[in-house]
Amino acid sequence: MGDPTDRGLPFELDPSWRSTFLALELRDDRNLFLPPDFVLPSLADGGNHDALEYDLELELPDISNADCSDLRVLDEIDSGILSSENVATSPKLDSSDCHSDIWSLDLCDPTDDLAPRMRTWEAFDKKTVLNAQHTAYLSEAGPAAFDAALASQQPKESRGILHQDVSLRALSNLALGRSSIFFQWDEPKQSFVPTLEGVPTAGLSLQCSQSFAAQAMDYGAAYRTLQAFGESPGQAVGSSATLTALRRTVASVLEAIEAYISHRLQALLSPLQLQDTLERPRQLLEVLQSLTSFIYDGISEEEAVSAVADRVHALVETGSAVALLLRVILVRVSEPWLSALAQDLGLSSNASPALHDTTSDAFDGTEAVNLSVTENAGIDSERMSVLSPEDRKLIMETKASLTILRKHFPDHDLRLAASSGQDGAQLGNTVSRNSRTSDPHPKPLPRHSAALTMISEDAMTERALGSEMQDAAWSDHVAQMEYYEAMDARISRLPAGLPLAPTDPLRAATIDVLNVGTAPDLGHSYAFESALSLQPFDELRPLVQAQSSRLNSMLLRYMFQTCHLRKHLDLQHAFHLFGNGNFVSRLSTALFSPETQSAERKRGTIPTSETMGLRLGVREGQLWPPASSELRLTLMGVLSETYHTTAAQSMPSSTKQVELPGGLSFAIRELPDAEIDRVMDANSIYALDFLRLQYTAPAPLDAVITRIAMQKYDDTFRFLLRLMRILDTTTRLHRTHATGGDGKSGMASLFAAEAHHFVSSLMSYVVDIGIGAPWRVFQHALDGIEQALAVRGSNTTGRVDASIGIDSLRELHNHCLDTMRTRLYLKRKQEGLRKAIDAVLVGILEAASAHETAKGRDQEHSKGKIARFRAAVSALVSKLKDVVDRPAKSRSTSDSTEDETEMARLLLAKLNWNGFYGAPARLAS
Amino acid sequence: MPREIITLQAGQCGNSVGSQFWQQLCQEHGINRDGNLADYATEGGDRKDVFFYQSDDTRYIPRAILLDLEPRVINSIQTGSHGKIYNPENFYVHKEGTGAGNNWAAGYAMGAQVEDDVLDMIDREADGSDSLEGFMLLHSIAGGTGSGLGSFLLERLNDRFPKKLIQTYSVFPDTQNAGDVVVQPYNSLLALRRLTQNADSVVVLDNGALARIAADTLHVQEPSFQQTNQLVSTVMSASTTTLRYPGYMHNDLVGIVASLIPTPRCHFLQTSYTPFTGDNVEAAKTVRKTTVHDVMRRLLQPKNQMVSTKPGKNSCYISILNIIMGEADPTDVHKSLLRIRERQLAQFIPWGPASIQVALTRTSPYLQPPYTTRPPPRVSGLMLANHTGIATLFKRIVFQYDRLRKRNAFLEQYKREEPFRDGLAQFDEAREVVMDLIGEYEEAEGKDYLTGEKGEEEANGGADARTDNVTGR
Repeated sequence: MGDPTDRGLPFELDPSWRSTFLALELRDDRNLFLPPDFVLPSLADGGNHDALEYDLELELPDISNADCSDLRVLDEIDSGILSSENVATSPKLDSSDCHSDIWSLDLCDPTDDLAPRMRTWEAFDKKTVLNAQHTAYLSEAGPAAFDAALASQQPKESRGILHQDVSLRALSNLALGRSSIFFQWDEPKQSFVPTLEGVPTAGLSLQCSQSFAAQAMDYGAAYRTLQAFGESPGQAVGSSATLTALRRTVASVLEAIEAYISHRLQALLSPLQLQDTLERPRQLLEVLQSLTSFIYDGISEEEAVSAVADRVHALVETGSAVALLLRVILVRVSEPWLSALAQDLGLSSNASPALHDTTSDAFDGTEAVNLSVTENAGIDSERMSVLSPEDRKLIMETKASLTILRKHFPDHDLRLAASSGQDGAQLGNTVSRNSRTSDPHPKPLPRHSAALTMISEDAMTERALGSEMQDAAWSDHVAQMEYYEAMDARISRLPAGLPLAPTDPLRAATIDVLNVGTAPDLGHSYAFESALSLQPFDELRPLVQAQSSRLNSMLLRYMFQTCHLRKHLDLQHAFHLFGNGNFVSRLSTALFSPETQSAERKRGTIPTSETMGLRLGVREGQLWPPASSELRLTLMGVLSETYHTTAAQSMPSSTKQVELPGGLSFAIRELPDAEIDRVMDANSIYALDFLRLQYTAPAPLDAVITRIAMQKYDDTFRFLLRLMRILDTTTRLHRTHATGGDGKSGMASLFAAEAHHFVSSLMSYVVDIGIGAPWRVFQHALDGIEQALAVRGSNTTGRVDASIGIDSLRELHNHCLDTMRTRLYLKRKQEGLRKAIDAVLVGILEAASAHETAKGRDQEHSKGKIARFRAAVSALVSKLKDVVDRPAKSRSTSDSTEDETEMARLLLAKLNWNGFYGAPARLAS
Repeated sequence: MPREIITLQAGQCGNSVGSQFWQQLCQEHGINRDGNLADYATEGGDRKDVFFYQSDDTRYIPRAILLDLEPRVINSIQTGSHGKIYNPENFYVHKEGTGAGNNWAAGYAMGAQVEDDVLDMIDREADGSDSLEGFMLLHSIAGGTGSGLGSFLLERLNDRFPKKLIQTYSVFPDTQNAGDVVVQPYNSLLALRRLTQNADSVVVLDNGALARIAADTLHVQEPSFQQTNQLVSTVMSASTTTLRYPGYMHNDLVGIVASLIPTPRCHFLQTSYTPFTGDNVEAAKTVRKTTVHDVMRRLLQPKNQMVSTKPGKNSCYISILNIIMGEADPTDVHKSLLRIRERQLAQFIPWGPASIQVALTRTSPYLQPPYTTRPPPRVSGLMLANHTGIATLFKRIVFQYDRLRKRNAFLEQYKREEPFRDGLAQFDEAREVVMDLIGEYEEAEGKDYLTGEKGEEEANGGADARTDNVTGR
């Protein structure tokens, strides 16, 4: 077994010049081709022999005679007629037992006894032959013979021969990437140049030795390039930690290769062995080269990690021999990124002052990561395969939560570390591990060994934890908790207590890979391998998820309990969405009531005790819009008094001056030029469009009550204000009508009733169904969140649904507002219905004012207006009917459309309960 | 800015009902028996100042004026549990304390005597309000004081505060069974005339129906006055919920009246309420599980109506306002509306648009444990409806009046009083007004109401093309 050829490793043979194992077979006499026998015994003893004797001796075997029986048998076998009977009855075959087994046919050589004896003429002539013991073949005659033969072929070109030892030493230097006298490193070309061309190595042809040299030079060049990559300073500005990690990993692998090669070189005897030795390192170098080829300066961390991860993944999937090492490399390379991410996500605590200095640099990197993640989020997500969209969302959300918390919650770090139970400890430890390796500056490699030992330790423990547990961990809560505990126990073990492995695992892995041919004991390696994920983020994900959940609940608690999110939302509902009846009636009085006095100061008039009001649509020849001072005086107190009477009764009166949350106040809306004109007309339904509520969500809350959301509130408010105006008009119309006695025409009464019915039905639909129902759903959702928070607060093991974060809260809010807008027909695609509604409102306003001013004289004009109003209502009703009756086919099956239809049905039922507008005759007119 | 309402309680019935009403309001707003806010009453959002004002010592005083011509009921109120909350200056008991003797004429005549005093009180209260919206009169129309003095007040209020709304809660006598007062048809008719002419809105509560509800629904065979008064005060507090817990609409009387009363003369409203859970109503102590649809459906059932009418084939609703209190999901409410519409449970007028309007209101937080002994129903509802069938009630009153009048029974005591000194023309005028009112309601059942008389309906889109009143298709 000592012979490499026995182990199937022919290229480990030291000198190729040796007899092969086939030579042993030649000693077998039964072979047809015996070694030539130079000693004839009959001649040696000098006796006279009969020529016939020689004839006999030199007679060729009688092949035809010997083979005939066999051939026959073979024919029979071929023709398939051979049967046991046949065999039994065959007289020829009977003679030999071995013939009964056809499989041993060829072993039973009938010519066995007739083995020919080979003789040489030299023996016959009794001449002595020099080197008679030496091989007769050039190929077996040794390097010297070979070289001589070669030299004899090309005497002119021959410059001499390099001794194999010399040549081998030079090649070995190449294998270590070093220059030697025969091969010089050419820096500009980044390759080795042979100094001595055309001189073959002893025992090799020129082509062969050149080929050896070329291979070795390629290898050396690759090695050297990688070495340069590994050693190049990583401090260049903008160089990423990932790149540095990759450099260091490469350097480390190269060191391992170097150690391996130098160890092997000592035993090397032939270029062939060298070639064999370099084969695996060469593959490894190729892989490393392919990894480094993706990396360039200025690449973002995530891109770099993605590129490496992708490459590694591809290689591992294609079954590369170096898969294990690749995984380790991936772990190494992705570590700085992960730890930066971990810091970025608040997984690390900066509590340890020893780490603080070294990690402060990493913070710069963190910022870069931060930027790269956010900037490239939309653009390069395909390229950044290292994070799935879900992971990316998770990270972004967590980051957003953390940013908010950091901004508004400066002492959160302390709380994070001190926060209850396992999470804190777990995160802290993990991060300390991460932050230890996150230093982007090159440091002595042993620093990393501990970390990776831990990883490999982790892998072992993880295996010990049981793969079932791991699989089941995410399926149910208890299992998850157990998993966390186990992980926590694992992570919280002090590194000091670990038996430190004597060598760097990366190195060990490299050597494992290099030795894989010679020591194919892969059991341990594969276990290690399977524990190292191909997705660098996998390791961090559970932590990030836990952190996300923690931060979410923390942020939510902060928002709900400290920032009073509910209060602010309720404020929007109360004022922007007319949820507060006090506000509605006060505002209505201030804007429309005729029983108020104008805030406009006039010479000679003394202000009365009456409330101030704009009396929109009541005063004739009114200047509109009112002066801002008048507006301010009129609306002063409407908000604050409403707000404070709604709040606790016990509030002292001095607080009435306290500003409302978010600085809620009335303001003038900036309108586009096109809309300014219609605001100037006091009789237009747009007359109040200039009025809006100003509210700015205080800082952390603006993550939920965004500007876009405020815009939606504002739109709704504008619409509600119009409705409120029309409602007031119709109520007043009805009242003047009622107090006016029976003198008015029935038609006018009917109009008043119709108009009021329309507006009150619409208003009821808008506020109850349009606003109230979605708001209720939203409030229920908030109640659920608050309850979950409360539960978690009292019970440390309880966990808020991790999916509810600040983002989903915002989504919830926006969805609520969007539903409202859809139901209120405020969306762009609902323009048709919105215009129809506006037309009715305009119709009411015009008819009402015509009715008021007509005073019996201009009945016809008034009638025309009323007819127009009715036509507008009929148009709206038929439009709504279209929506309701729209066949299901043409509708998309989405919920929103169904909701829209249902809502249209409700509105239609309210407006046209008794079919008053449904008659075809009316529609026709 | 509150839209204040001044409550006038006249006569035995009016004051009893009013007393219960104020107790109910105090409980709902967390006001103690001494008028102070209870310690627990910290939740805002309600509008107490519609019905109360605050004295210097921050006590809440009802904007109520209690009038009677005999001291018994008012005394019992003053000495009762909530006697301290009223402004003592707002009690008016006629000095002689003789009462009106179930004689409308006596009450009315007495009104003229006490006019100055009473109007002083009213003026004082009106001046004390920022933006007075109107008056609420609680009375019965069968007796003497509530009916007679009430009628007198209606006329005076109309003159004095022409722009203010006047709403009355008028307890009508049981017209189907023999009443306690033989002359109630006279009194009713005379009062009905003022209710028609001088009130903006009359919530009709029929003693017969109240007794029937007590008997049928609550299984009380002979309900006490207190029990029926409890029913009335529940209705009153429910119908004022939208004023006291304002929403975006119906948050003042004008809004409610505008929604319910499209034509000024047809302003008699009937009510339904479900479920009843008064403390005094023993059988109501078990509360059924209530859903929005249940409540909405039950409100339309005749047995829950607090007026005994006999609607004819053509009788229809002119308008309906359902006040739904409690935890009602607006979506449920409106889905229930769709179902009611599909099943044609409510027939509406043919001459104009009409529908069931719904006001969703909060309920008082103090109506549930620990402030009360048992939880309120999850959802409760009050229906205020303007129905043409109410004319049948008036018809019965006229019919009973006619029967008495034919025999000239009991006219002597009327003739003794001022309004009838010059003859019984008052009776005939009243009958004429009431007959006109009945005629108006009957007209309102036709499709040409409001447009028919002048022959211009075609130009305005005649209603004759309306083939299907319910589905509109």
